Amino acid sequence: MQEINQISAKSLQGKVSLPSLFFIFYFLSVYLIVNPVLIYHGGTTITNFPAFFTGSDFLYKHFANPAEPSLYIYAFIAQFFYFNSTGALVITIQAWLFFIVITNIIKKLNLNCLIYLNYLPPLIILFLYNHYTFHFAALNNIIINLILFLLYIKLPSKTKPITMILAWPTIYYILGPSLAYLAVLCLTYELFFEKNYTNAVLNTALAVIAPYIIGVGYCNTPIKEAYCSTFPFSWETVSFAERKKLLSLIYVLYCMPIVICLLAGVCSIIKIKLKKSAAHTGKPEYNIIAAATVAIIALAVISLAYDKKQKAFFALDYNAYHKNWSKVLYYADQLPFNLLATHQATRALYYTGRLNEDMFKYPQQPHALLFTDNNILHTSLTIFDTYLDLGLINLAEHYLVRNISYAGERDIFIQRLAWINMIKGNAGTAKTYLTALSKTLFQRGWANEQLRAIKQDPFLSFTDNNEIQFARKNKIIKDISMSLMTQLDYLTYLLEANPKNKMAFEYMMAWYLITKNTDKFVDNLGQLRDFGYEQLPTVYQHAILMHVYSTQKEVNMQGFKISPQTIEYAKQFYSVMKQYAGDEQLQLKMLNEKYGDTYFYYYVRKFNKMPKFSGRPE
Amino acid sequence: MKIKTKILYTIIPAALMLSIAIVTLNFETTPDLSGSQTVEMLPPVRPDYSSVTIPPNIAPMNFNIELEADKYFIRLYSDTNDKIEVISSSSIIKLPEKPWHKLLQNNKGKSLNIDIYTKTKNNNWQKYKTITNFIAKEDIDSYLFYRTIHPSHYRLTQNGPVQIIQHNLTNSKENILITGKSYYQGCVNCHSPLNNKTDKMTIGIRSDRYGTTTLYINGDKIQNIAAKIGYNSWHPSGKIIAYSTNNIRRFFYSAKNEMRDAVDEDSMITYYNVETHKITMIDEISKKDKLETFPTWSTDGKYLYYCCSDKTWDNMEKIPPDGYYDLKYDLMRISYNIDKDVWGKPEIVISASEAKKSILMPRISPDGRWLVTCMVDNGGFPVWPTSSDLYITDLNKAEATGIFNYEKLSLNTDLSQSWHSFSSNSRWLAYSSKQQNGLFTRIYLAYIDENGQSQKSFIVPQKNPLRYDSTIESLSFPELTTGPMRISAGQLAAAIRNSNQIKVDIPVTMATPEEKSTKKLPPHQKSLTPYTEIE
Repeated sequence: MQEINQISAKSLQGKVSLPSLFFIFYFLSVYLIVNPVLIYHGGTTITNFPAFFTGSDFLYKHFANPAEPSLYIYAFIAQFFYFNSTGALVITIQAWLFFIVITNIIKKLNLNCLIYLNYLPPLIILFLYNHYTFHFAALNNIIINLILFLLYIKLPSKTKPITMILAWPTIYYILGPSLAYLAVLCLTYELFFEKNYTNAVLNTALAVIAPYIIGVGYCNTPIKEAYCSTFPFSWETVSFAERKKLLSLIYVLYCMPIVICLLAGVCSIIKIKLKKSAAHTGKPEYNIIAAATVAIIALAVISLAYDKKQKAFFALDYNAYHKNWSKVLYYADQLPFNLLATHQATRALYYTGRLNEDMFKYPQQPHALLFTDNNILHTSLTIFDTYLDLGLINLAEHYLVRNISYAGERDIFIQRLAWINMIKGNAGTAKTYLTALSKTLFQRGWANEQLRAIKQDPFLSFTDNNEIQFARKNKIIKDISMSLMTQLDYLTYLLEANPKNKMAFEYMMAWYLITKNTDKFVDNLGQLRDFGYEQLPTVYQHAILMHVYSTQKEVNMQGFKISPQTIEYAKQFYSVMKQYAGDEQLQLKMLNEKYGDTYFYYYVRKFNKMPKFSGRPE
Repeated sequence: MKIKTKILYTIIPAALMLSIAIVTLNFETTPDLSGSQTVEMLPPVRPDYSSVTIPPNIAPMNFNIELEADKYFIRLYSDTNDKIEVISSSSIIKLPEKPWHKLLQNNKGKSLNIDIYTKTKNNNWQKYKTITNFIAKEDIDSYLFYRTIHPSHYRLTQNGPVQIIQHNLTNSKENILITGKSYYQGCVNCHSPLNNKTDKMTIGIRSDRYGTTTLYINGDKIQNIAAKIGYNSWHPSGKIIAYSTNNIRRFFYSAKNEMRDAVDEDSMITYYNVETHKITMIDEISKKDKLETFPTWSTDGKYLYYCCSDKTWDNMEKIPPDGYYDLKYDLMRISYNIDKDVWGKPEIVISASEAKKSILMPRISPDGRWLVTCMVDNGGFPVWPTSSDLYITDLNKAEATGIFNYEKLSLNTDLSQSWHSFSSNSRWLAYSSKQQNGLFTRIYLAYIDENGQSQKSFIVPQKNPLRYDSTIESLSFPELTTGPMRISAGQLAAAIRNSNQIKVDIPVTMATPEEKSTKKLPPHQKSLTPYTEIE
């Protein structure tokens, strides 16, 4: 580390260090573009983000088996992703440490001509996070092993045996099978550089024996787990599609130091004198400037070439959880053909009062309204909030406990489960969830506040808590097996429980529109005034017109009127239909161009035959 | 004298003295309680360890005093001179293990008194009413096996896989016996020891990767049997295992407080011969129009008790199917002659229609006298409905009179009690209950006296008495054993993953339940997820 500082110092000559500049850019890229808080949230796909709890029980759990102490520490550090700034700092530190150790290894092995490779790991790490993968433990394991390797090669040969005898088992206990990686690095070094075969044999023997004695023998770990569990090829990684993503880059990071060692070893054996580094030729500035310039350009390219769609997906979920409706709509716009985006956009439109104006600006699909059909095999991690908002408390709870099984005891789920049980009046269960939540780092304040409230109100009446009272008022009362219920059943029963449940009503009307059941839709127009409607929303006007056009039935307008502009708009739509009546495909194309975001288009699009348009709407 | 030696001679005594000083400073003697005020109430302690009957070999029952104070002083004593005194500035009281065991062992059959004093800011000690517990004469089996699972009962879990835990009841030490994590997030259940010993035991395994199998532990050997052995019971001879095969369908209620429920689409009882690896149908209790489940052997091995109900549906298009809410299981038994391998005729032991309850999970005490069952309003899964209570029947009386009377045990609460298991001396009952919090089951221990009356039960003690407060997993399916498992967790996991399974002949009949996992979903259902993009 001193050496790199010296390089930097020389290169600086009183100016800003170029690696420092690189890592400042790096931090900003992560902070501004990646947004680590999205990774913390999980974005419906990261299922291995670790939960962390304070207290002895969680701590002791992590000391029972090899590798678990390191996982405990990683789980703690990962919590810093809760904030963008600290998350960006953690990622930058990971990258910086990798940079430092690679620099030092290259220098120690006299491969200074490869010094520019030191920017590669930070760039790969950025690429990994840019694509919303979470190989946090693997990255940490590599970095720690490389640091240990650096320490190892600085040890005098005579002290290495005793150090290995003492350190290797300890390292195995803390890092688990990752010890094998350190052992491979050390073996390569001993064989090719030191040519100390005793140390090489001892290193190998200890790396084989330690897992067996500690892992298999003492901790009863299955033998494969004892040797493989923390590596990326472990079943815990490769069995899950989302965890396999970009795994090849992790292998690159694993292999890179070994390849460097081997290369240096081969060179030393065949006595190739590699070109000395710029640092040794007295001209460090030029080469480092060149390297840093290339690195910064690469950094810029990688930063800008992030996975926009993936980010939109993560951000959508995150903002839906935090009820940032304008952002939900912003990201839903970026995912125009995604069921989850449509689902969350519908919810955001409801909360912004635009559901009946703009819902067909998003590609509506019956499944996406509630996602309660049995044929949905996987669920978004945050769909539960729609159910909670509507009053489908048990359904929300069902998905939340599933999420806990699927993605771990994450605070975002436990918080909602505590809340649900407070709504349900289950004091014991709520307290259990809240006590668990009080051991998390960021939700403990809220949890303790609720625990105090429960202490004062042990029967959970919460008469002063408007949110809970509102949720209780909306709670579904009809109790049947949810497997027998359709989406419409849910909404109908919600309105049975509370006829003033506006969200349920608007969702039910939306359901009728999405399923083109305009008969039912117009039957319910009479309830609009109960929900404070003074005028007919645009989508409703469109739907009435389509209903009249297609069924030729009279509609009781309940005192509402269709605006002249809407009628004119409908006429224009109809004229386009007529104009292209001979070519159905062209007709749909033309309609889509002009009316793609209207109910008119949605209504005609799915029919095999175009509805007859005749007569005039009154 | 060399300088190094001099330094050593100086440092070592100094370090010793410092250590002694630190220990002395931290050691507090019995406080002066002479002026203490008496508070006429029982001190609230959590877990509730007051007025309970405890085994003399139980681990220290650490507890939390639910009172705010600067200091706590606790004195435990009985009739002998043994006593334990603890002074603590924390409300969490951890009792020293050796004195605790000495106190209990020397006072079997006597009361255990706990005096709690708290010291408030005005420096007065307050003494609360004495908590009196009772130390039974009979030990409890030293080990408890139980399962941990999230209440979703969804086995693909990252941060708390389905596990079987081995808990030492005499010192509260635990270790994981099987974790689903070690065989690709598998599920584990139905761990069943023979005669409260771990020498012979079966453990049911389900894994997407390694299949649905059963581990058969026989001494130091493990066999992986390629058969789904569900709820099972060892014949006391250890030669055969009667078991039910259940095709369970879970479902969830839209509004009920406890939303989980399940129904057996189909079930039947067969038996497995551990020596010949042969599975044999029992025609009388494998009928396609009946649901037969929860087999359990009488202690003499002459009867197999089980639960049986008419199956009122032909298919499971609807879950729950029509008639589910009227589904009630009778308690039945069928005689068996193991020497001749001959079964008798089924007979009703307790009629569901008379009891107006569904009778489930029969378990018989090892002394053969007590039969304990769960009774619920309807259905076949007592773990969820709040109506599930434990009832006891005196089999001696029943054999004499021919009438199987049953009585509700006093340990029941308003919430579900289920999954009970007797200790080898028939005096202790371990069972799952939701009484602690309403959702997550915990394991309780209750003393059953010679008249079949249960004493107030207590939650299994843990080193950290507040552990249950934040555990968001269910702990259930307790089984008491006299000793620990001799086979390591690693060996068990390796056996599960071992492809060298013992093939058995499984009779296939109309009553053979269809494996749900084999059902293929239509392609459109397989592919549609919230992540699916629509056209």
